[in-house]
Amino acid sequence: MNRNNQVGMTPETDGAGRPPFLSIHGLHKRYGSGAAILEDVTLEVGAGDFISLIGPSGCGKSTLLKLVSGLTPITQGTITVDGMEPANAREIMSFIFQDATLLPWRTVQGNVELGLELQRTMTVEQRRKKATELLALVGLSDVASRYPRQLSGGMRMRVSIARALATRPRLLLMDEPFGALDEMTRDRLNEELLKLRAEQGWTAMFVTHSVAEAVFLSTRIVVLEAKPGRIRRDIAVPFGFPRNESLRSDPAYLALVGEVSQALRELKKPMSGEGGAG
Amino acid sequence: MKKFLGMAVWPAGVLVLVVGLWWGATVAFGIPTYVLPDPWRVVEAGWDRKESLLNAVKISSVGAVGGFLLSVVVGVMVALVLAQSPLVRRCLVPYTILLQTVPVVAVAPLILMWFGSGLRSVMLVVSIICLFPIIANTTQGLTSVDRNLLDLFRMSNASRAQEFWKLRLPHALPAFFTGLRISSGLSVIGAFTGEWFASSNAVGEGGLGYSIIYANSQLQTDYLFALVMACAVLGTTFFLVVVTCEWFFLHHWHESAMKPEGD
Ligand SMILES: Nc1ncnc2c1ncn2[C@@H]1O[C@H](COP(=O)(O)OP(=O)(O)OP(=O)(O)O)[C@@H](O)[C@H]1O
Ligand SMILES: [Mg+2]
Repeated sequence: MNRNNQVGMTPETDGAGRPPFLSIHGLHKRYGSGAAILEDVTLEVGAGDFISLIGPSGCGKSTLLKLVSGLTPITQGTITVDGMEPANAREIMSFIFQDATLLPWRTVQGNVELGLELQRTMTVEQRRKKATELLALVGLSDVASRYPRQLSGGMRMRVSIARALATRPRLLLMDEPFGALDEMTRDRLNEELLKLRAEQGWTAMFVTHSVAEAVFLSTRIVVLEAKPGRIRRDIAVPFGFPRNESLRSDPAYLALVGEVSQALRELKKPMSGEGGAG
Repeated sequence: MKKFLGMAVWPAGVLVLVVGLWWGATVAFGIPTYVLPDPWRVVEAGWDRKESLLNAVKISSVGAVGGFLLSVVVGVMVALVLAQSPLVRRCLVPYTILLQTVPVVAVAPLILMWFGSGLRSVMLVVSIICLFPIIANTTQGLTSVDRNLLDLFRMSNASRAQEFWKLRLPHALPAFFTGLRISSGLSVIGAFTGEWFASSNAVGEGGLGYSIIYANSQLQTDYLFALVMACAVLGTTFFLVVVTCEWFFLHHWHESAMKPEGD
């Protein structure tokens, strides 16, 4: 049940001896001739993992997701997603942004169909059926014919999730998807997200500023430091699945939230033995 | 419907008030008719010469609508070119600004010289006036698409055509209609200006602009007033037609199309 005992490292291969699902090696990134944004980032993610990236603003979390999705070019290093280069792996990835980024001129249904429509692999009928199915899954069947402006922020984010999942991704990249929501809505969506994960089994890279959210959702939390962006800690979250709201009051959960918060606070001071070198 | 009536009541009240003041002024100060005719004289003059009035309205409408449509076609094509890349915009935008800064009255004599008097020249003047708002707004609409939405399309391996038809074009519609709205008002001004310079002066072929010069030269102030009002009605009608189209295309999803207050 609990396969996340090792702290700080993941195995080179998963149990079956295959290479990791997502692997990032010696990754450097700078925009144009500017300063290094990411420096020597190496990270391996097994299939089914839920990785949270957490770190100070500007440390390159969004940049890392954009590199994995192939939206921005790599300066140096390699990324492979299921053995492919990022730009070739788009069919198995979906991106969820902080704001729901829905097309305001399309209904909820039309928005969920968008990804399938752009892929041009399904008939109109299949598309409609698939979207209806996903809307049911995120609990939005009764607003399928509404327009985004008629929805609350939480509902919009659910539409965005449904749209991302419609193309059956195996890797879900999420950039602070719940950052703009109130805490209650956020908690509820966290639980829903884990249910969807249990049903569909995708791997996730999830950027957040909320330690509690990261601990609740993840199998691993990667703490990044800024300027340049580097991995500082890689913390395994040992709680099994399914997780529900009772976890939030579990002492072990609270202790881990404390530990990760502490790790974040320590980023501000130079680590002992590093001599404070920039 | 109730809402519409509610919206119409206040402007109508203002109209009644203004007409009342106008009438009161002509009576109270004994203003001569050739300086300021009273409202009834204006209505009468318009009615007496309704045929030539309607004819002038018709001719001006053709000029305004024709020039407007021409500017929409040309403006959208130019905007499509400008939307291609920042480099193209940097090269060409200064020249589109010329459209805005060179006064049409300065160009009108040239147009008259090259194309002669008549409807064709009037339409050209109209389209020159209408062009800039359409180009500027449409280009802005086509290029101001949210970065994340573009990324979303790229993540789905969308083709350039898909990106255009399913993202840029619908995104540009509100701005496009803003351009149309501005230009619809300008088109009547353009027709008027064009006719001032380039209207055919054959009998029954002059539009409102031409008729107004004529009425003025004959000191037919009451008819002149009737013509001015016809201009106002024409411009307003045209504007409302465009706003209705806008509402039809946008009211489902865009805030600007949901004008009637409340809601
Ligand atoms: N397109 C770009 N061109 C140039 N610099 C960029 C670009 N995108 C991001 N940067 C820079 O890269 C750095 C990291 O940005 P990034 O958005 O990845 O940070 P982040 O960790 O996601 O921050 P936040 O938590 O605030 O979202 C920032 O200093 C930013 O200014
Ligand atoms: Mg970010």
